[in-house]
Amino acid sequence: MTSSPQFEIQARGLVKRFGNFTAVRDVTLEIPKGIIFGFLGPNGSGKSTTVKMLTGLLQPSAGEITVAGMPPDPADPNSRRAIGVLPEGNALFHSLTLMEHLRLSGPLYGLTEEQTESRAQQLLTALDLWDVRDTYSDQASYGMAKKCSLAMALLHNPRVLFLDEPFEGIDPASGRGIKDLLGLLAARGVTIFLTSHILEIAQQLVQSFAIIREGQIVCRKDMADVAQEGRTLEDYYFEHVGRPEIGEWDWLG
Amino acid sequence: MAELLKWQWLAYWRRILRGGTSVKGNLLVMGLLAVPALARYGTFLRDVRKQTAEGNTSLLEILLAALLLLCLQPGWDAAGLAIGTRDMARFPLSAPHRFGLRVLSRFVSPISWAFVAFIAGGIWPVLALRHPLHSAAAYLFLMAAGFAAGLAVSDLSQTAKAALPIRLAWLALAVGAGLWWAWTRTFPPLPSHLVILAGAGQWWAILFAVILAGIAAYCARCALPWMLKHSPRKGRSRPARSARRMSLLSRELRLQSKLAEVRKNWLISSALGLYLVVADRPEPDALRVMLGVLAFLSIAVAMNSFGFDGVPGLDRFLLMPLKSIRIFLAKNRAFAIAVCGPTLPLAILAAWRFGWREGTADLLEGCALCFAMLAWGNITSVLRPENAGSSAGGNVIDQFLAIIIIGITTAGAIGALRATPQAAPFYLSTLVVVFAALYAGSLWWSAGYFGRQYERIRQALS
Repeated sequence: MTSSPQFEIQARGLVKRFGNFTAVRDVTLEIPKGIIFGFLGPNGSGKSTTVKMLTGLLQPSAGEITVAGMPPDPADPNSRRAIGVLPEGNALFHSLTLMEHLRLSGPLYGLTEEQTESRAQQLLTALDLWDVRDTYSDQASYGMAKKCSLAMALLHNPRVLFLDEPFEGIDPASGRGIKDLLGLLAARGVTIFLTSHILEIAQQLVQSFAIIREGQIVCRKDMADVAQEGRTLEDYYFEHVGRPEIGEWDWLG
Repeated sequence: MAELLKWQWLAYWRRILRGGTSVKGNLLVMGLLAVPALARYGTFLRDVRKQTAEGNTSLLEILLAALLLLCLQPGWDAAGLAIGTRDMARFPLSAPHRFGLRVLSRFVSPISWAFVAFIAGGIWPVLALRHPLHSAAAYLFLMAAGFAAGLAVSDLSQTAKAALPIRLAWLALAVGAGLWWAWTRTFPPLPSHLVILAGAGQWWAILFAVILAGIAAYCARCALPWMLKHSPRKGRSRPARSARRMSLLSRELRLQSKLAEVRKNWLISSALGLYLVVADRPEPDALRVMLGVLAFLSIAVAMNSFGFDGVPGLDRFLLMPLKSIRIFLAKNRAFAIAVCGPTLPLAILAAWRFGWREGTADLLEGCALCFAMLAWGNITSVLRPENAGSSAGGNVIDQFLAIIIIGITTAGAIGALRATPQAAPFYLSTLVVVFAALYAGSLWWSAGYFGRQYERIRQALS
C-alpha cells in the first residue's frame, strides 16, 4: 500500500477478530498532518483495539495501516521512533520510579543523557510530577501513572501521538495543562489521535472526530461542519450511540 | 454465607480452568505426586505406630512437630483464593459469619485437602500410645490450636503493621530452635509434646491443649477484623531514590534481584562457600551436585522471563524502538549476573580447596549450566509465558524437562572428572561450546518468535 503524504495516519478496511468475536469491522481512517483527531465511542466499542492496531500492539486480522508513512511494525525501530503512545493501562514497569521510566526511554530513542534529563525535568514539572518523581510506578496513583506514560510518549518529540483516554483519572489542573500542551503540539504539526469518554473536552480540543459503535465507524465529521450546523459533538454522539433507558424503578430511592 | 462459599468455590475452579496450560499442568503434576506421597506417608505412619507401640516415641515426636508446623504454615492460603478475604469484607456479613467464611475458605483448594489427609492420618500412630483416648483428644485440640494460630498469623501477616514483627518472630523461633539443638543435641520443646504426655496418662496435658486451642481460636477471631481495619502489606514502603542512569540491563537486574529464587540462590551459595571454607575435608562432588541443585532452583527465572513484566511491561517493550533480540540479551545478561554470578566465587574457593583442575571443572560446569538454562529459558519464555509475582512460578512439565537437562550436565561433569580427571576440562569445555551454540540458536529463534507471535504472548500474560 502506498501512503498519501498528506495523511499521517491511514487505515483501510481494518478488521480485528478474537476467535469468533469481531471487535473491529472494516474501519477506514485518513487523518491529515497536524490535527487533533477524536475517536469516540461507548465502552467495548473497539476504540482501544483500534489504537492497539494503529500502534502495532495488535496485528489486524485484515486491512492495511500506515502511520507516518510506515506500517506500525514493532520489529522496526524507525516506525517506533515516529510515534508516541499513551496506551490503555499506561504500560509502565512496576520496578521503576516515574523518573527512571524517562531515563530508560531517552537513550533508547537516541537522546543524550543531558537531553533526557532536561526534557524529563520539563515534562515532569509541567505535568506536576516533579515532586513525586521518585515514586515507584506501582505505588503511584492512576492519574500519576497516566501522566508519566504521557511524558514518555512526548519525550522523544514524535511525529504522531496516540493517546488512549488521556484525561481519565487526571485532576482538573493537569487536565487543563495537557489540553494546552496538545493544542501547542498540533499547531507545530504533530498529529494527535485520541480516544476519550469526556465529550466536553473532546468538543473543545479536536478538529475532527469519528464515532465507533460495535466495531464500526458510524459517524465521521469535522468540527467546522458541526459548528456550521449549529450542533455539538455531544448531539452527534447520542444520535449515533443512543442513551440507555432508565426506567421508573419503584425499588430504588 | 453458603452462597458466598459457593461463589468462592466456583471462582477458584474457574481460575484454575481458565489459567492456561501451566496452571492445569502444575495441578496435574501435583495430583500425580500426591498419590505416591500419600502412599509413602502411609508406610511411614505404620513404622511410627509400630515404634510407638514398642514404647519409643522419638519418631512420633518428629511427626507431631511436623504436623503442627503444617497447620501453622501459610500454604493453606497460598493455594490462591479467587476472592480474597478483603474482597469478601464488602458484603454485609456479621462477624461470626465472616469468620466462618474465612475458616471454610481455607478448604476450597485441593492442596488443603492433602493437608487435611496428612493431619487425619497422624492420629493413627497417636492411638498406639498407652492411653489412646487421652492422646487422641489432645491431638485433636492441638491440631485445632495449630490451625487457628495459622489462621491468625496468616491474617496478621497481610497487614503492613504486623508483617515485619511476624517475620522477625519466625526468624527468632528458627534461630532459637537451632541454638537449642546446637547446645543440647535434643529436640526443642514444642506444644506437640503434650500429645505424648496425654498418651502417658497425664490428664492435665489435655486441659493444656484445650486452653491452647481456645486462646488460638480467640486470637484468630480477633485477627480477622484487625486485618480488615489495617492497611495491607506492600512490597516497598519507603520512597525510592531514582537511579542516575537506567538501561534495559539495570532494569532487568533490579527486577531479578527482588525474586525469591535469586535471593535463595544467594543464601545457598553463601552457605556452600562457608562449607568450602570451614569444612575439614569438603567433598568435591557435593559442590558439583549443589551446582545442579542451584541451577534447578533458579531455572524458573529463566523459563518465564516475561512473566514478571506482565502485559504492561510487554506493551512497553513493543512500543520502544528495540529489536527483540536486545530485549532477550538484556534479560539473559541480567540472569547471568544475578543468578549465576553468586556461584562464581564457589569455583575460586573450589580451586583453593581442591586444586586448579577441580576449580576449572566447576567453573566450566557452571558455564555449561548457565548456557543450558538460558537456552531452555528463552524458548519456554515465549512458548509458555504466564503472569508471575514475586517468584517465577513456571510450568512444572517444562521444569521437569529442565531437570533432565541439568541432571545430564551435572552427571556428565562428575563422570568426566572421575573417569579421566586429566581430560575433564577438555570434555567440559566441549560441553560449554555445545550449550553456547544451543543458546545462540535459542536466542535467534526466540527473538524471531517474539517478533512474530507477540500477540499470543500478550494474550498468555493477560
